[in-house]
Amino acid sequence: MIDLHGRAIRSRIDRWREAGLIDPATATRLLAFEASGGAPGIPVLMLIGAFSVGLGIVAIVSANWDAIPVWAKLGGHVLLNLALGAWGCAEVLKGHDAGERTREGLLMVLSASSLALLAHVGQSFQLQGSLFGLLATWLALVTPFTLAFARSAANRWLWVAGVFAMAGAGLAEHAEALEKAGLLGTAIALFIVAGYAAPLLARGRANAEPWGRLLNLAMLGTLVAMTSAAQMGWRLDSPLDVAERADVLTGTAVATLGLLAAHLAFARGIPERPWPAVFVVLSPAYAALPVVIGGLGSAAVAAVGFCLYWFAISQLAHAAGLIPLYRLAVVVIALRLLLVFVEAFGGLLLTGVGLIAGGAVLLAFGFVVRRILRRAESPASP
Amino acid sequence: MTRRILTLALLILPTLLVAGWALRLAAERDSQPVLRVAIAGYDPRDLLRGHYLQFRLDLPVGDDMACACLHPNAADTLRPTAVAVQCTPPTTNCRHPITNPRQVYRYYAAQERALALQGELLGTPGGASVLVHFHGNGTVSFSDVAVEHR
Repeated sequence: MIDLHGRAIRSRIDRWREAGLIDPATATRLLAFEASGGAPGIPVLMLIGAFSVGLGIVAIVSANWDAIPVWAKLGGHVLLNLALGAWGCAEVLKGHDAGERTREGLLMVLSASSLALLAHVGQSFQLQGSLFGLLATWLALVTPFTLAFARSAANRWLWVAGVFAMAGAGLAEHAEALEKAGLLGTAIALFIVAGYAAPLLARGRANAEPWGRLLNLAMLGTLVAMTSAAQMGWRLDSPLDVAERADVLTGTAVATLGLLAAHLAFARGIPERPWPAVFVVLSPAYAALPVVIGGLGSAAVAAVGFCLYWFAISQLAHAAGLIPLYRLAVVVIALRLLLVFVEAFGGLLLTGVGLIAGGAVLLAFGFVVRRILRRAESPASP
Repeated sequence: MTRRILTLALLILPTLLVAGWALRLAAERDSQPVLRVAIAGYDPRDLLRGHYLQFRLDLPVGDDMACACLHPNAADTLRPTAVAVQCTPPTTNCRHPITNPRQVYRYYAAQERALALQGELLGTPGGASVLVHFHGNGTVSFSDVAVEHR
């Protein structure tokens, strides 16, 4: 077999050596290391073979799915989950240093397969349960083993996504009743505060701290997304009725007080650099501002409200040295401004002059954003 | 040893609980009271969610009836009579209690069955019915959708 992979590596190492990037001794060591890795063609062929066999089995099962009795399908699914559980158990007992990828992969597949099994039972018996019930039951089943054994970011994010999906489904399911009771805003606020304050509960417990930080981060993202989206409220020219306004204002008050309390507890007093905390605590009020003022029916004010919020994020990120977040904020502001241009002059884009003007604006945006990002990343920048 | 047992329990127990639940559902289904009820507003297929019928039970209930007790109706066997009852506490002297009888239900069908149902429904004026299993606490499940040939 022609060793194309080996040839490519050797050629690349030769180029690095000729360019003076690595010395001959390093080049020799790299070549020896790559040569010791065995023939790469065999594992690739095995992978393709295993994938082909797996695909064939899936194709046969799916083609005959309807013909398989319900009990055979459910029994097969249960056996699959039991096998995954037993394998996962063996991997976990090996210790956290060994076979991390296998263990994390198994936990993820077991988690997903457990959700599928619940849905499978629901479909088999034509149960009429809700999405919230399905997700809540799934989380009740998988949370213990996920919290105990999962260490990878992928598994942790999957679990956090499950928590968010469950909360979203629960809110959607009970939105009407909560709205009637004037408690929809409060329910959302309590969810945000609970997730944001998660690190407080996890404090001092080594296993729980990464989960607390993740929930905190996810909730911060949710708060920013909700506040950004709420700026669309400036475009409304019909104000909310009294009950809806009261609901929003109560929720805002609960969120503000809850986030303030969380920050005071985080810092055990007033922090040295209070601006990030001020930003978080004031976000709910900023989100509610269009409702408080009553909406102005103005697209321009909505854009300004959005951009001011993200400008604050960019400044906080810059001060904290969070360059990726700073880049994101600049790009988000640029995209929002671009949207304003398209909204205002979209019709012109159908003409030749409009295309030239639109293209020029795009180029100018790209140039300005690039300049700003380069200046932020340069070592001389404050 | 304790660690081994705990690990195994955390990873195996969830599946065993679901399997036990499925067995219990199957065992209870045989003893649950059933009524065949006409259905309305069917939609045999949904490309996003798979193949299922989406329907309401064709019952003489108003939109404001939160919970009902159904009684077999000799005059129209597929349309039981409905009497409004309190939702809480659950009615114990009702054989066929149902919560929110106006809600939209789903009946998951295999692809071939869904296509066959669609064909039958298009060519038959009688409509369709479903066998309703009453769990006793207001919740219901279904089996055996049938097209009524009149």
